[in-house]
Amino acid sequence: MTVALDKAGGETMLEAHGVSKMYGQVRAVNEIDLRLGPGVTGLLGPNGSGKSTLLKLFAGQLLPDTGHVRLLGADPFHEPRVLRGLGLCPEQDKFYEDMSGHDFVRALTRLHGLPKSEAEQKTYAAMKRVGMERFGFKKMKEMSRGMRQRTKIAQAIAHDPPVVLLDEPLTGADPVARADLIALIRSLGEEGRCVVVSSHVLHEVEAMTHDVVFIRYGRLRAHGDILRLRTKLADRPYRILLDVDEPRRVAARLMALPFVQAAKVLDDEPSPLEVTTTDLDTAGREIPRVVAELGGVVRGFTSPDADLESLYRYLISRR
Amino acid sequence: MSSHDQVFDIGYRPMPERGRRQPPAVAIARTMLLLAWRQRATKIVLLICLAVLGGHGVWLVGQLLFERFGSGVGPSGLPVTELVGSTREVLANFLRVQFFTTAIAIAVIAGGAVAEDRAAGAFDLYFARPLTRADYVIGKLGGAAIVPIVTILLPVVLLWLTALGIAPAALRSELWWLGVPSLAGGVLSVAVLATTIIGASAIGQKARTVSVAYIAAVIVLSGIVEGMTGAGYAFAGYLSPERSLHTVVDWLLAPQQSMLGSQVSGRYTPINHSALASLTALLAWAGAGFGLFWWRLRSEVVG
Repeated sequence: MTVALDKAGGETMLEAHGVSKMYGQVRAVNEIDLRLGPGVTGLLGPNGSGKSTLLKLFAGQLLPDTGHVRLLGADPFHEPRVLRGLGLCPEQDKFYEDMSGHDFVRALTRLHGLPKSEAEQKTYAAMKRVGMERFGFKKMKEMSRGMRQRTKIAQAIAHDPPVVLLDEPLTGADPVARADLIALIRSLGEEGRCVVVSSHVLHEVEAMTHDVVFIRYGRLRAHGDILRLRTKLADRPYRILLDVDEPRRVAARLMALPFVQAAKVLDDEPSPLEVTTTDLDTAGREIPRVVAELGGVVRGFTSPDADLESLYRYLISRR
Repeated sequence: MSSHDQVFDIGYRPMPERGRRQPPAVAIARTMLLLAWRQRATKIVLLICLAVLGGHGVWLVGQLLFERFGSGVGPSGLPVTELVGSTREVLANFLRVQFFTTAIAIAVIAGGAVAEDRAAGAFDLYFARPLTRADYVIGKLGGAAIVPIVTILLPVVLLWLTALGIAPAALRSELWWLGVPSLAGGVLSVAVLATTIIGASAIGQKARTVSVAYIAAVIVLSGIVEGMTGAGYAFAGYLSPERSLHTVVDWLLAPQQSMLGSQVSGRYTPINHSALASLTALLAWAGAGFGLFWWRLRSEVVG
């Protein structure tokens, strides 16, 4: 089942329409329809699900077997000029090891045909933006993994592209660097760029965006806002953990409500009442009201099934 | 995709661009040469090439100065016409010797041109930018060609102009005709060396392996060819680019005996089939190098 939400009718910057890509007998991408606009989008799926192939199709490095890809309205495979508007941060971590980070970024920026002075200026700005202005002189082989990641992102954004594709951009970065890079990626999206982030680390994607695309077996499984997608999975009820006094009394009262499927009292737990519901929004409004009618107060209200991880688990693990 | 409830700060606005765009091939060639220049071996082999040029320059200038300020005969009592022959010999010898030294230099400088890109995964980074395979080909071949242009083509023109400049007036008209053949020999060297090293780099995995294999191939091939031609297998001479170049250059630098010379001078001379076969062999080497490069690019880079 593919879950799709209605999307805003804003400017489409990346588009895949009926796109399939075969590697021999293996269908890496299968009939994918996708339209992406400004903002950060998380591209999620297990290994071999077709994420990198989809990014390569968007980057014009592969020709789809069926369908078409549009980058800023043009075919990136047949019209390389449109790649001026693309920044790609690939997953691979091998570079010209004897080059300094600054030279590396400048050399790649000059491939856009920029004059030396302009390329130099944009390189400096990009290195500064990723927090590498003080380490730009270091040779690539002397850099830590996190520095290399930052440098890789710098080369992707140095020429100021409206579309940025980031394949596992946080790999190897330490916690502080991760926080910085997440903030950077969010800011790129807030500037109105179309930023696509492929990652395995779900909580980091969640920190960057609530807009996600799930892919499995090369097929689009879901696309949309995390919370709204979760509500579409009606056959997967939410568990809600409530911290209330008199949990048995509250449980008995809640069981009478139509949106509550089950209530379980958990002894010796910080949140002693677990409620199962298919309508998290309604539950969020009604449960505190009901508890208040009983003279109590809800001190804690959490759902372990409403985050990206649970959504990923439901969408990717089940067939 | 943006959701209904998402608000963007300012919207995307590209930074203004200044100046004219430059061909990406220039940046590719520049990066390739920049990477090579960081190696000490590059500077050493270029110094060797410079020494070869210096030696031939001294040889040439010495002969001509002696002729100019001497008594009208050469340093060994040679007549003027033989001095012209000696100038040809200097130019031909320079092309032959410098072909070898440049083969080593280009192996060091351009051995990793494509191999390094493959190893570093640079294709992904390159071709996510507005450049085509043709840009890449031009950039890499251009970068590789810079080496023999600097070590062979420009020096041979320099030697020729030096000879013209300091030769006695009586010799100048004779030396004038050596310019085009020297240039042609230099261009052939550039074409063969640039394409073969890039072809070798395209099928290699590591820069150092490609460099060592290329130098070994040039040396071993010359040795084998020498042995085979000595044993009576004359056709083997065409297998060695250096030997083929030698044959072609000797032919080109002897105006009275060459087709080019006959066209320039208006005198009829018979066609030298051996030189034509050597020229064909050189073009075949260049074609093979280019073919390997293109094949590799087609197999690894789409578009």
